[in-house]
Amino acid sequence: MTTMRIDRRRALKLLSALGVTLAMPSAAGAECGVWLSEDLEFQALQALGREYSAQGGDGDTSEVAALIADAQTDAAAIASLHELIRADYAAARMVRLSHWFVSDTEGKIFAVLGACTT
Amino acid sequence: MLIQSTSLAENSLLEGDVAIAGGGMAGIALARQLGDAGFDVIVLESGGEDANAAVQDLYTGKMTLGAPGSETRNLDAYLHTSRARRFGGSGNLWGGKCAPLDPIDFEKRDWIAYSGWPVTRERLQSHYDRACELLGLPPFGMSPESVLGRRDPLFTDRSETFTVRPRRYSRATGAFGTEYGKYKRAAADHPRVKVYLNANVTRVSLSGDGGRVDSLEVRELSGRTHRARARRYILALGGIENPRLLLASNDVHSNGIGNHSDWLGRAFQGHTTIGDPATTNLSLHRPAADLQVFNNGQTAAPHAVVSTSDAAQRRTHSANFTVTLMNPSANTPTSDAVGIVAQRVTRAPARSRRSLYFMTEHTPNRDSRITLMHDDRDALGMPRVRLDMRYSALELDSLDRSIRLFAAELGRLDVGRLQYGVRREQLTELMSQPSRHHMGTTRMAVAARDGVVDENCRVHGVSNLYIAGSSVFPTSGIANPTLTLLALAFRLGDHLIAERGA
Repeated sequence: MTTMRIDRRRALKLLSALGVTLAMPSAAGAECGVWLSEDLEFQALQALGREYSAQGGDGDTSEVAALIADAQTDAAAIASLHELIRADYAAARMVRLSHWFVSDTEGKIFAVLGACTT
Repeated sequence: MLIQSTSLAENSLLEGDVAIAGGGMAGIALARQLGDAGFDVIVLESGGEDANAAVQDLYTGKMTLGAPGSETRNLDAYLHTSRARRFGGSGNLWGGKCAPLDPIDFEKRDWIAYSGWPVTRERLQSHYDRACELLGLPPFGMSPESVLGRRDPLFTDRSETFTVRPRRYSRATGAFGTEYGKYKRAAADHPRVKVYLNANVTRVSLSGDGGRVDSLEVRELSGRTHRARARRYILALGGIENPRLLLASNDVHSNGIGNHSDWLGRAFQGHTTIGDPATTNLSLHRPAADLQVFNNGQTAAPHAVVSTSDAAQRRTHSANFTVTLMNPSANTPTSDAVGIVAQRVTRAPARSRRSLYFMTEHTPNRDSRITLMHDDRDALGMPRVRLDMRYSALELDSLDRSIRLFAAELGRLDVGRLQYGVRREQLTELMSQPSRHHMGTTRMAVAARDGVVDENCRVHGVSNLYIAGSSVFPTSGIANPTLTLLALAFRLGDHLIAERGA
């Protein structure tokens, strides 16, 4: 899996693997800021991301990670993610996370966002 | 006229042009129709006007529910809780939900064994309209829009795979106040209709050659007997008792009446719901106000369920499938990371959360059947029933396929996301409160080798014996059966009236 900020992510994963519960910090980081908000439970996001990673996904999250990063400043990046997701559903490329049917691209989004630090 | 059989002299002969066994919704509707047409009708009802435990106990038997990969469960109580043995029958319990079967339900579908009705939805439409009138409802047109008055608010007509199907609630049931009392009185007060109460039909007596019914044996709980004689006989005892009586009447045909093809009692079909509110939810990119047409208010105003379209069922070789949204509830989980992220990506202006349940068509299965327990008899000496309700891999595979299709279509069209956490081994546990729908056990078929009754509901090989009720349904669809069984009752009535005139 390709990462955005490898040091932060690695630290997060280590903490997560040790069972440390992370509360959503008060200020969102630059790479995930437009995604994280008060109504989005960060722990739920992390759980979905971990579940996707555990299932294997299709391995490469680099394109999704780049689009998420670009989405901070470029609305077209969101549109691109949207198109990837719709194409997934049209082709029935879905995974089950916490019993939710989500597209493979969405699984990657959870994996990337779940590793966000702020 | 209501007549207590206990007031009759023993061994009375009860006579009419038509004898109807069973004073439930179908029997009452037929009695009124035929009475209006000038027939003298006698109705033989097992119960009285009120519930009676000793009478209801005549329904006691054994039941199991099974499905591949899921534990077979004992459901004995279903046999006496899912129906009512008194004047008005199970209409006294009925919740009132009405819907016609879908056009595809009547079709021969190569991917569903034993599917296909001898009639089409179009040919039944006028009878459906009359059934609606009887139940105090506006007619169900052929298109959902004609009933709902609006397009599909979920997929907004952009899906060729899913559509909406309307449902309405009738007040003519025992579940709601006084309307059902009027329904029953209309038959009881008819000048050409005599309703005998506490009159149990325990045997259909055939002529020596087995080609005609000679009479019906009528027995009171006290043991006193009578006999009913008519030109034509109609069994309207419900989807379990119709085959029970025919199987038990085996003195001329050893396998029972109408069982020449070994279909009698087989292909029992019911309806079950599948879902668990903890893990069966929708996160929708729709404001709650747009989804009100899915709210089930138990009023005559229509509400909608989502269904696989006829075209998609053909394309995917699936059985019928519906999605019923539960009314908004404080118990609906609100944690919704999946929905929030989806909303961000799709830039949907709104988001709402609903629980739901699925239904999948129970298809004809010869192993899903009613048999008699000859060593266990009720107070009338009738063998009690054993019902083994069985789902097959066909339904379960179709259910999985349909749910996946639904999830994909929600995502493809930016409608929402689906959560479904039921495992196959949980299914019989979740299905353990089947709807009170008993179908298929005297199935309709053009050829005698394929069923019990013909397209006019006449028992194959018996010239004057007819069956009314959902036991004649060859396939069960997902619609609640009362409206269809009433439509078929009107159709049978028309046939008998036309036959008399011929």
